[in-house]
Amino acid sequence: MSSSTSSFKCTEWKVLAVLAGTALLLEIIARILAPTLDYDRVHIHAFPDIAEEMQGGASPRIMILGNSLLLHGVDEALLQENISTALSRPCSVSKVTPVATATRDWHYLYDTYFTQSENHPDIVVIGFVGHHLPDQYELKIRRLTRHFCSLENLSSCLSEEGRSLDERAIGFLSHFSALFGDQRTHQWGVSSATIPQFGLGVSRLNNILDAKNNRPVTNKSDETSTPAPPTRSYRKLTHLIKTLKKHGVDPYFVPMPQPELWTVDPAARATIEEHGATLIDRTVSPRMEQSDFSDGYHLGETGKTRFTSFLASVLSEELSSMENPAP
Amino acid sequence: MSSSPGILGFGVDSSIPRVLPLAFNSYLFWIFFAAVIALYRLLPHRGQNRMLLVASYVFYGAWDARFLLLIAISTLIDFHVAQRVTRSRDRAVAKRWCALSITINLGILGVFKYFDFFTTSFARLLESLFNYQTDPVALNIILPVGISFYTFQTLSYTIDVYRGRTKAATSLADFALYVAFFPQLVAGPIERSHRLLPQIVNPRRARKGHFAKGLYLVISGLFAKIVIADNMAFICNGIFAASDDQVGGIDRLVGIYAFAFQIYGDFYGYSSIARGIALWMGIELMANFRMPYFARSPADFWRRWHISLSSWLRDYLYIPLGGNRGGHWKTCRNLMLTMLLGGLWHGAGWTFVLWGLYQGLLLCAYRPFEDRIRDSQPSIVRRLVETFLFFNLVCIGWLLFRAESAAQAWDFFTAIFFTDFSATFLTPYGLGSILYLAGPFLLLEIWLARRNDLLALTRVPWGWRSAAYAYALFMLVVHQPLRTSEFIYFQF
Repeated sequence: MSSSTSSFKCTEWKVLAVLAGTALLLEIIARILAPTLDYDRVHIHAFPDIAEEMQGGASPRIMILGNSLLLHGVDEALLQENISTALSRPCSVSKVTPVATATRDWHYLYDTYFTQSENHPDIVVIGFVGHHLPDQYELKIRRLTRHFCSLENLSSCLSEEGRSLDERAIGFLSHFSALFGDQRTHQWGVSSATIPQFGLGVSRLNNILDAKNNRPVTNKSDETSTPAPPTRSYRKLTHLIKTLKKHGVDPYFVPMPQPELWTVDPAARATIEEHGATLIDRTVSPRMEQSDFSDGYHLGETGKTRFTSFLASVLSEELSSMENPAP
Repeated sequence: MSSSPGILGFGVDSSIPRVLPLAFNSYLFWIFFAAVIALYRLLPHRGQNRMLLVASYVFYGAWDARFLLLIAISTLIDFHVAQRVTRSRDRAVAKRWCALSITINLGILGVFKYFDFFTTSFARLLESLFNYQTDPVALNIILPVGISFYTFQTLSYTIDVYRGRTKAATSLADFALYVAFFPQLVAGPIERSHRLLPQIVNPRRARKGHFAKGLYLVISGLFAKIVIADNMAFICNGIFAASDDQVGGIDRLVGIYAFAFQIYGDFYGYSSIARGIALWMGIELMANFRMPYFARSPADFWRRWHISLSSWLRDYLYIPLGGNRGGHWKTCRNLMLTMLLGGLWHGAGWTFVLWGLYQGLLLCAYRPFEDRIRDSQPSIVRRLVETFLFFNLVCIGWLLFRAESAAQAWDFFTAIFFTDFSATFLTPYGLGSILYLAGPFLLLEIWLARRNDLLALTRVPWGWRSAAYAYALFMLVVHQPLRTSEFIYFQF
């Protein structure tokens, strides 16, 4: 086949150059918007500062690690005040609570922002409900590689988490490009401004499609068969605990209150205990009323205060017993 | 999913990827294509053909290498049959060879695509008529991707050789590439041998504008698939999966409109990308779509929609049946038979049969007015009214095509037209999405229609083209699908 035509040389290079320029411009805009896209991004961009502040904070240094459950469920100032009072000395509390995250994200996040800068707390309190601990929690590859990975752990993240070459490619691009990494947020913003009822529509259709996917399958003989319960594994949880322990950090796992009682998966409990972490006993946690929740999932103002007080008393006891071990 | 060995080991197998790994909207495909095009530019013509054949088999084998055997069987049989047909001096002998090829190709298609459908339907018929219960024999074979496309392509080759319209290929490798050329292997266009074979056999030269046209076809194809089809799929799938209390009749109508743009974006997108990448290799594939939703009548629609299939059905089924010779009723019979088989070609299911029946009825009903519609020069308002009316008739067909069962199609139909005129917030959401995501594409098509040139954008000053591509790039990056979905036509 002969080489490119003169037509291509004259015009299509210009077209391609404009396309490249457009991509560059969009990337620059995305990078400018990135730190202030929403309160979650503001929080994520503050992680390096949180790590630095924590290093200079009073000991014991306590990190609250989790997602929106802890974001809305723990009053940082109240927790610090209660523990300081109980211990009769100052302490420092930092909150690292990016929304919609789980063990996988916390593992990479901790490695990126705290292990690599060698800023470790004394204890880490991780709040969760059942589906946050297993490896099977939904993978959000763009968010994971963009916000919680560094160059150092990117390749291991892509090889361990990416289930296909396509997913790895998206993860790779997202790490280096704000446009790719924050694509969902941009999509949401643009679509909400241009398509009426976008948020409500997407939410309704997602619920319908999720329900359909989870619906029991009817086989040919018209007998309804319930899908087998998904297998749960806790490899990421093990990694997280091992990383924390390796740096002398004591991990505490706190089952978060929910409007309905729930139990910790025995396999998760066994993993936590087997690797030397502490699972806080939920039977002593305060009983929450429906009114203590703001939306049926997250704690509201009253719930937040009650849960913070409970957490402060448990942590104070633990810290006291660590400082004055029983003979 | 449990494994079932099926015949020849082609049973349902959980290890087979549900999505074609090298689909045009995957990063893996573009890495694959970059390697192919780099090699292509280094090789001489014969080497290019060999490399393209290997690449085509890799492309297909990435989904399931076992099914390459079917392509190989089809290739070998049709290559040798065509040789025999050419060598036969006796027309009756040539006819027998041609019949053998047709029987084997349709036999493979029948076993792999229709066997379970017919046995299950027959068992149900026995049960409903005679209350005789039987356990139908089912092969539980997975449907080989693209089997309907390459079967029709090879069939047309043998028949054309028999009819003397094309010469039999002399090189098995070149013929194998004609059957398996990866851009159009799994979802068309169904290329005729007289168009594609010479482009394979003869050395190819880059023509002026090939790159520009290819770029336009690839970008517009990706836009149609990712921005339009995949986002419409989310709306359509959600509405079709909803229960009666979750959506109203108007929402359901919007769900059908969403499907109309999903299937168009999906199939136009695939065909367009296929044409674009083929053009970058110097091979021109036929246009498969010509602004189909601007049609004002069924005959007009079928001249614009899936042109490679509709022209195939016309040339190898409708005309041999008698075409429009023999009066109104015979023409209608031929149209009905052609469209019924066309419906069945799309899938082994009664909804597809009903869709074909509906299309046949539409063709028959419009037939007395076709000439008048085609020759008239109506005002813009009348043209708009006719186009909108016919678009809605097409959408009724899409309801049959998309529905999971005839009962669901009936539920939708009665809710929309008779029992439930309510709408929820899904209606403004769905219509807004169609307008925002597909509207600009329709505007482009209006402009193309006015210029009467499908590639008009490649002929405007580069600045305008750049602006259009920049817009497409923005949409492609920002409006990724909320849930992924594979190309619809792979299942045919």
